[in-house]
Amino acid sequence: MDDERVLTVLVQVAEQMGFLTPMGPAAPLPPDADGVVMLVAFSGPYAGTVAVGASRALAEALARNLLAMDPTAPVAPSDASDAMAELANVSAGNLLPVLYGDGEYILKSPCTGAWPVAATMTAFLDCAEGTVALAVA
Amino acid sequence: MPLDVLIVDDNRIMRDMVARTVAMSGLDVGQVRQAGDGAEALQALRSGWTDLVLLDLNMPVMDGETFLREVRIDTALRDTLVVVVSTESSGARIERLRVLGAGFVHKPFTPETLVAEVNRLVACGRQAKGA
Repeated sequence: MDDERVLTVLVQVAEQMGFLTPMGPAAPLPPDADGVVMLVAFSGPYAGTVAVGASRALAEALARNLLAMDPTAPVAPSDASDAMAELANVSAGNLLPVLYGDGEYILKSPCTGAWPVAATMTAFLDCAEGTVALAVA
Repeated sequence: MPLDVLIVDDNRIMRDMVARTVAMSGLDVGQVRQAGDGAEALQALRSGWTDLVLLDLNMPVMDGETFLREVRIDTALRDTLVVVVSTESSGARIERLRVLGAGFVHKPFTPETLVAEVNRLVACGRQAKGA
C-alpha cells in the first residue's frame, strides 16, 4: 500500500521534473556500485531520510534533460550528482505530504550516501533511461 | 519594461533550469542573475536593481522564508516581487509566504504555471502602485 504511493510519487516526479520516460515497476534491487544515491534528511511531525538512487546512466540522462544537453553529450559527474540531488529534493517534498499529511517539514540539503538497508517503504521504477528507486527510512 | 530577475536556489542545475524556463516563457525579461542562498541573494538585491525574485525555500546559510522576511523589513527592497518555487506542501507555511506577499509555484512546475504566477504578481504590484 505504502510502496504503491511511493511509486506513484516517483513516477510523477520522474516524468514532470526529470523529463524521464517511466516504463513500470522494476525489480527491487538497490542501485549498483556505480550508481548515484542521494539522501535527504527531514524533520518535523515525523523524521527520517528519503533516499533516491539510480543507475549512472539514468543520472546522466537526467542531467542532460535538466540542462537541455545533446542526448549524446558527455556529463560531468558533478552535474549527474546535482541532477540527482534535485530529484531527491523534489521527491522528498512531494512524498512527505502523501505519506504523512499536511505538516511543516525541514528538509536538509541532499547529500550522497549509501542506499538505506533499513528502508520502511520503497519503490523501484524502470525508465527508458535506466532504473531509479525511492525509499523512506 | 523588462523584468530584471534574480534566481535563488542552492542547486546550480535547478537555477539553470529556471533561467531557461524564464528565457522561453514569453515574459519580457531583462537581466537574469543567480544566487545560491538567501544571504547571497540579499547581497545581490542590495548591489543591483531586481524586479522579480524566484526563490527556493530549503537552502543552507539562509533559507528562503528568512530571506523573504529580511526583504519585507528593508525599506529599499520591500516592494520586490517574490515568487517562491519550492516543493513545499505545508498549508500553514504557504499561507505565511502569501501573507508576506509572495507568489507560490510548486515543484515540479510547468513553464505555464510559472508564467501565470509571475503575471498575477506583476498585475497585483501594478494595482498596488496605482492605488
